[in-house]
Formats: sequence, C-alpha cells, structure tokens
Amino acid sequence: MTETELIRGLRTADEAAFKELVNRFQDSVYNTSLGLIQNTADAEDIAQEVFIQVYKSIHQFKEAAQLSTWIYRITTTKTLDFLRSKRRKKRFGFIKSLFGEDHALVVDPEDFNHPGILQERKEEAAQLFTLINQLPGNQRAAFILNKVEELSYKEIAAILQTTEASVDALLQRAKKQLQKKIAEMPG
Amino acid sequence: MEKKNKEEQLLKSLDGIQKAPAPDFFYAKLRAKMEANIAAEKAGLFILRPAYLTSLLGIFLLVNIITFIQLQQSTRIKAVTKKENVATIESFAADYQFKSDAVYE
Repeated sequence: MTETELIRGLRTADEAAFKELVNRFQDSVYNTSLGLIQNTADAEDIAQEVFIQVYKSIHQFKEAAQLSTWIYRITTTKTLDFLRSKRRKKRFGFIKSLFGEDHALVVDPEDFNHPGILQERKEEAAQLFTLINQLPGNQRAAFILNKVEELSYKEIAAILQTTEASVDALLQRAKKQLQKKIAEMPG
Repeated sequence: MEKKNKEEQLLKSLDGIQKAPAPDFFYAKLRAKMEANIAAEKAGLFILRPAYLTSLLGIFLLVNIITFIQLQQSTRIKAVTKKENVATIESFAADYQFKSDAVYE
C-alpha cells in the first residue's frame, strides 16, 4: 500500500488501512515516546493516544508533508505535553506534602534501561538517560530524535517545524548541557 | 583525563542503539481502547439528545409551575388568616363591649 493509498484509506475509515498504518509506525512512535518519557507503560499509553489522534484528525493532514513527519510531530507534542503535566502534578504533590497531607511525592524511577542498548553500555546509557531527563523539552526532543531514532537534521527540522540551523543549535546546546552535568557528577 | 573519558563514554553510550519494538498485541490493545472511547463518547452524548433535553426542560418547567402555584396559595392563605384574625379581635371586643374610652367611664 502506497502512502497516498494509505491516507485515502484512513480518510474513508478503512480498518485495513488503519491496521497497516499502525503496523508501519508503531515501533517508531513507541520508541520515540519511550526515549522521551523513559517509562514503558506511559510510552505505550502515549503511542496509543497518537494513533487515536491520527485516526481522528487524518482529514486535517496536508499531503505536502510526509505522513511519517506528521506522526512524529504528534508523538513529540503529546509526549512533551504529558511530561509537562507530570511535572505540574509532581510540583502540586510536593506542595501538598509540605502542608502535611498524606500524599507521597511522585518520584521518577531511578534508572531507565532502554531495551535497545548494547549490554556492555547499559550502565552508562542509564546515567545518560537520567541527564537527558533534565534537558529542556525542545533540546530533549531534538536529541532523542537524532540519537535514538537516528533521524537527520532535515527530518527533525520538519518535525519540530523549525530550520536545520535551529536543530543544529538545539543539539549543540543539549550536548553542552550534558557535558556540564557529567562534569558535575560525583566520582 | 579520567573525567573526559567518562564524558565520552557516557555520550557515546547511545551509539548503535536498536529501536525498542512496540509491546505485544499493541494493535489489539489500541482497538480495545478506541472502542471503549467510542462507548464513553456515546454515553456522554446521550445527555445532548433532543428527547433527553426536552424531558429535562419539561421537568424544569413543571417544578417551576408547581412552586409558583404553591407560593400563590400560601400567600392567599396568609391573607385570609390575617383577615380572620382581625375579625376575631373585633368581634371579641364587641362582645365584651371593649372600647378604648370604656376605662374612664
């Protein structure tokens, strides 16, 4: 099925087309979300939400862009929104705990082990993922799309709706921040 | 030097990373979620159905009319009771020939 046929099928609510779309993009969507969120259950939830969104808003998709770009954009937006709301809840939980309510603080899991990492690099990768967690949203998205999804600057620019130069700047800043954080690490 | 090595090691730890595959039965779980969403939306839309809205409006009007009638009745009863009270006092005064100047006679 070509991309045009796939889009046409989706617009007529053809189940076979939807199944084909999910089969084609489920790994990319899940992998991107997992890299950004670092939690398998949340990443699966977001991935499902992405496909529901695609199904609902396929009529708004402009064929000037690639379908994959559009899906990646929905994925990064949804994941970053989720992270923002999680952070807000965390802050609210902290305030509640300050006022003596019996609510435990929302704590992130200590180490995240991405299933696609080579065995001998697992420990370093887990440390790096912890540091990536502290990057601002756009830097984090650019870094994950580049390093985990191995997308080109051009593709990332299309997803984040910016220029290749901006993507380059985002990645440079992300790298500098990570270097700084590594230098501050004990040991 | 050691720090620099550590930095390089950490930054290179994602090199050669494989894509994490979506969990098993992803499509089946997605379908189930979509069906649940549709069912929930339908249940939510029930409230906007014309029959439901008309019934709600009817009940609202009925309650208003009943309240209005009851309010009017209670006002009328109050007025009648007040009048009766005045009449009772006047007849009582007439029966016992109570007059305001009777005391000085």
